[in-house]
Amino acid sequence: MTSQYIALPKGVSEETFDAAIHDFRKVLGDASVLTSAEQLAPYIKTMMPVSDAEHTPSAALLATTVEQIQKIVAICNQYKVPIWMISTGKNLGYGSAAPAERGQVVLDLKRMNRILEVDKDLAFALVEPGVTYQQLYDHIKEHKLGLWLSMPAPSAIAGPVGNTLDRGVGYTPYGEQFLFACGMEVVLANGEVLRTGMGSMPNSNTWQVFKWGYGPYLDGIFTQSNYGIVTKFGFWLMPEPPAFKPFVIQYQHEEDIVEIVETIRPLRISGVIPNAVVIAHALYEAPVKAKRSDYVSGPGSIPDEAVYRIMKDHKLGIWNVYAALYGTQEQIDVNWSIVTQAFSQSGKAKILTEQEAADDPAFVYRAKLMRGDMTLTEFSLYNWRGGGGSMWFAPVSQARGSETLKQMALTKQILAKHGLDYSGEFIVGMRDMHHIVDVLYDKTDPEQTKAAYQCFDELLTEFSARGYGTYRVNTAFMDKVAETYGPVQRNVHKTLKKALDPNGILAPGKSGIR
Amino acid sequence: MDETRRSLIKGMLTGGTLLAFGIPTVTQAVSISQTLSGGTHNCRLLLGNTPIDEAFAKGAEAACAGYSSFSQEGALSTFQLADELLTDPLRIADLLTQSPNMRWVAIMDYANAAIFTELVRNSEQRLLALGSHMSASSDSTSLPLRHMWTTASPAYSAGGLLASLLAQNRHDFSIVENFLDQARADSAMKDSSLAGFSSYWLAEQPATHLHCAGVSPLKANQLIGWKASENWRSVSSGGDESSINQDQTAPGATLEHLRFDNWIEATGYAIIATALGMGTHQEPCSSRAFVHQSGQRHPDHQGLSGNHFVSFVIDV
Repeated sequence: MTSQYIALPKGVSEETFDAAIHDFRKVLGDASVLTSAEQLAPYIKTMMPVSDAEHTPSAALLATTVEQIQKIVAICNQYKVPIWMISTGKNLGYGSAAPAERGQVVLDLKRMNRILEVDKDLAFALVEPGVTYQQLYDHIKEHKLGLWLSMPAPSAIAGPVGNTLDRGVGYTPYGEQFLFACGMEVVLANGEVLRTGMGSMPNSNTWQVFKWGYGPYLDGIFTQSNYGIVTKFGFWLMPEPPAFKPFVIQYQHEEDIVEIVETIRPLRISGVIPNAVVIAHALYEAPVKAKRSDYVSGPGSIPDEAVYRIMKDHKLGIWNVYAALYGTQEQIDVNWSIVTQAFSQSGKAKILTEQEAADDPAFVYRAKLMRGDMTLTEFSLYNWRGGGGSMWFAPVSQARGSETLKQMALTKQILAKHGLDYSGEFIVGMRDMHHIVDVLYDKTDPEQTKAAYQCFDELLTEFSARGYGTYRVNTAFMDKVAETYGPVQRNVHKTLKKALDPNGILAPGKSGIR
Repeated sequence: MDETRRSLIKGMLTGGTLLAFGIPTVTQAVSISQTLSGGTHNCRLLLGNTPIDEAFAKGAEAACAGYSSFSQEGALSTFQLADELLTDPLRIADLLTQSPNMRWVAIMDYANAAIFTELVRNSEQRLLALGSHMSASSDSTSLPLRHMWTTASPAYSAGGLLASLLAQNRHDFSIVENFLDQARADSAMKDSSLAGFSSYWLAEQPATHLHCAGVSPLKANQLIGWKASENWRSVSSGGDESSINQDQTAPGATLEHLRFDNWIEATGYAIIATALGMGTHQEPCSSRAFVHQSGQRHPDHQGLSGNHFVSFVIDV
């Protein structure tokens, strides 16, 4: 018999699901419970090398209030129906808006999009999960608040709640998003509403200014997890600096990554360079300016010779270091002198400022991100090969040149074995490097799709064998990554899950937690 | 919405950014009088500023001309994007939401498509079909011309029509379609075969159909990445022939007069014709594929090698 639903939750009969949908409709109204194929199709598309059928939702719920969410979790508990929560759903390359497992009901919080407070003096914001960076950006401009956001590449269309909860980054000095989070409201699986930190105290006005509260700090367990549904989120904003100086430093040889990192680390730790520096490989920047098919055709990874031609044709370094200085002009002048002196020592660096690089589209979009402006230019990566396949491989390394060289060489070798290109960059954190590689492949080509899956699997295996952990991953590989962190951590995660969500209704499978 | 943005959108809608490939800048949207959902829709085309826009629009025009010949409707309204999706995506979201009761066909590159997909979901539109279209280099191990669709139901399927057009032009191609909701197939829809193709069914659930030309089912499975199965049943040697019919909605003679300069024009024709309700060879199943290997290299493969784009059909 053919089902009236395009998928059903695992272990839930159609009759039971019917009853749950009926109850969801009583809470939300018919128009906010989506079950037709046409309505659900936009939730299904992923860029992973697995069948979209494995991540097809059974329904989507469009909630607007905390009270509705409390009623939804009650229904889910009653019928044992799992939900997959998204805020704006822009986790592109990590699974997008699709659930981790077939049949999960998407709880889409995009309509919860109120900006509850932006405090100019204390420089913080309190928002609902559906608020986008564009909304907040417009609000700040409209009210002339003189504050900056720190956005990831999907900028305008993404939002601070989702990006922070998945521990994403931005590119201003406030780029390590979770470091600047301050206070959450969370609907728990039993329907209770928890406010973390100072938010639990009646009449407190310090919820968004003091992170720690009293007792164990809980905010962390609601990131990259499935222990609750975050319905309000506080975070700190950067005051607009009086002056800003973006720059790019180009190097010509891959092994120069050692010198780059050794030069940056002390500048970064001491705060001379305050933002998350990006060290982008030529192939990460090339799609902004060139097409792969102009340089190479046929199977296999792009040869080094073609990469050097791209560099020459489009004035790219093999490594392109993007950073910025912030503060008063006097501060910037002093720090610029320190930066140029440090990078000039070996004679390998080519230092370009806005004066020299203003017409370079790669520099323009990087400069925008470093000053908290919106641009979606980085999406050009998806045109490099075409075919719609993309997975972010995101291992962490120490901020040491020798480590980054090892990671780059290993990544490149594994990608080449599977016929794929190295489109990578390092984002320099406080003492770590996020090594971000876009594994791009053509999803219309079954051979390449299979190769991409095997390649990603091998990357995770080989990196974890060397002690390099992945900090974030797409939904197809969450279990595998969870496994690499060992049985004790996995068991603690499971114990917390059992305690907070005994029926397992909240996003089973997220970060490998069930 | 502020007045500046409202004016911008008004400008777009009245022709400010309209680009016509032989189409007047202000044209009446084609009315779909008999839609699959029973309502009345108008159809518009959104071109995403890719190198294949012109070819696609030419195929779209041909489909409209065929449609207009019996409906007496006008040409297709065509909107041309510059770089709005990367620079001001909300402007495009506004364009969609301010055109109610409209069926949009949009084509664009993969970067723009990633953003457009998000806009479609955000603005709660109905996505009828999402296609990925690729012409790869000649030395790829897969077939050089590949189409993959995720389609809400078989009633919105353009794959059969496209297969018949590409086959008569001797292209080597694969078309894979996944239907999210088999249950909502048109009740009159029947399993059909396609001239020149051998048809097979997978004798298990979910219902899967395979149409091969110049290639065995085993090889076809390999070429499209489906798991090999022993359970394919030839329609001519064991299928329920009483339920099979040669599709009469588009007799060969109707399509035979159509000649396209390249595969992109043919794709434009198939997508627009289907969006207008002239789809053919639609079958009630969950997945199906067409695999065609002519043994000849069509000259067009070389000329348009490396081109790729994404297509959307959405109801607003």
